[in-house]
Amino acid sequence: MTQNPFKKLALDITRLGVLISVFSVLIGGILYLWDQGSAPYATAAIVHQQATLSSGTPIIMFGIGALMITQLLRLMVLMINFSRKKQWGMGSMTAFIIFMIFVSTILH
Amino acid sequence: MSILEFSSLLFVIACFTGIFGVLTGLGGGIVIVPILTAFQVDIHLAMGASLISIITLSLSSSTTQTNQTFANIPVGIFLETAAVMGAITGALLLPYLPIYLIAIVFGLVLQFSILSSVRQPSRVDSQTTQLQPRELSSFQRPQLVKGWFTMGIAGILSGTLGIGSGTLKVLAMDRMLHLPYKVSTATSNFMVGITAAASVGIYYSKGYIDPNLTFPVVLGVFFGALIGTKILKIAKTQHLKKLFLGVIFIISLQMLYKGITGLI
Repeated sequence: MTQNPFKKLALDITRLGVLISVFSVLIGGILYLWDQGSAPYATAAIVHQQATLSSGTPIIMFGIGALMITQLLRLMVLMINFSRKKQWGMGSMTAFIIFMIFVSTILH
Repeated sequence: MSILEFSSLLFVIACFTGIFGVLTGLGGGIVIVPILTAFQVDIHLAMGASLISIITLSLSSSTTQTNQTFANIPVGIFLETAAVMGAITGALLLPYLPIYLIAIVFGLVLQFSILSSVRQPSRVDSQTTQLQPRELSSFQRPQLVKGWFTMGIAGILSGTLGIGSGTLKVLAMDRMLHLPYKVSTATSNFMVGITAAASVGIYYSKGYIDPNLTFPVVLGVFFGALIGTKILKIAKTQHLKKLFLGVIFIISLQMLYKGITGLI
């Protein structure tokens, strides 16, 4: 049975995105603990302040960003797939969702 | 306690939460927030970490065979238009809501989710026959309207509480759209990640996403869900599920108590 190439693409993007994200968060986390691990934990606020001091933090943020990009790319592939099948209503709704996520992420 | 010890502890707790989430069907987010607040973590930061773990879980579960086969993507996309708007509204409202109120609503939503989870098996048995994908046009308009508005409420709860609102989504698809339970669950798994992604940007801008708190939670929930899926395949988990639901019920009572007494 042949699989829809767009479904396969969405699946590949998702797998790759999750893999990149989990590995980035893991590596960033290890680096953060290497830098800050021995410091005492007092409150969440102090942990938050120390975020800027660790070399692992940007890598963790990259991992979180990769998750968001994966989610958006997956939706974009879905939108293209709907448009290819001339399902314009579904395509517009997917475009609306992408737009809302984009606006809420970029404008804030 | 050092940061290394705290992060390790969080990782282990998140791992158990991931296992709980898979075995009870409650998902990761709704359980991780009250547990983190029990460790004196700020509730907003706990909700931010929860949202990120929800996106990870939703994306990783969408690659499984079950979700690919049963998820009704057109229905999911239609309902998600309401959930995304709700999530953004909820996240924008969040800074103006008092923490005690968030805790009380959270406790109530958690208890509602537990009750729904207890009632799930009968629906699974009765509705496993029609798993063929249904077109959006095959639904009656009132069904779609009711479902759409319920998803809007689920979205608001997701944005305000940092959860996926999977239980409410499954319930709406099951009861209002009469989708088979398996299809509702798979479609909900597809939807929760999108709803969470809609409010993450706002959470980040308000400083509610702390990467150093998020990493043990994301990794723990991710690996916990992998372990939970394996356990689900090989073991009879009914008693384990009841035990976990009991523990989560106690956590929900604690959350309610903290909210009512203003101790949070």
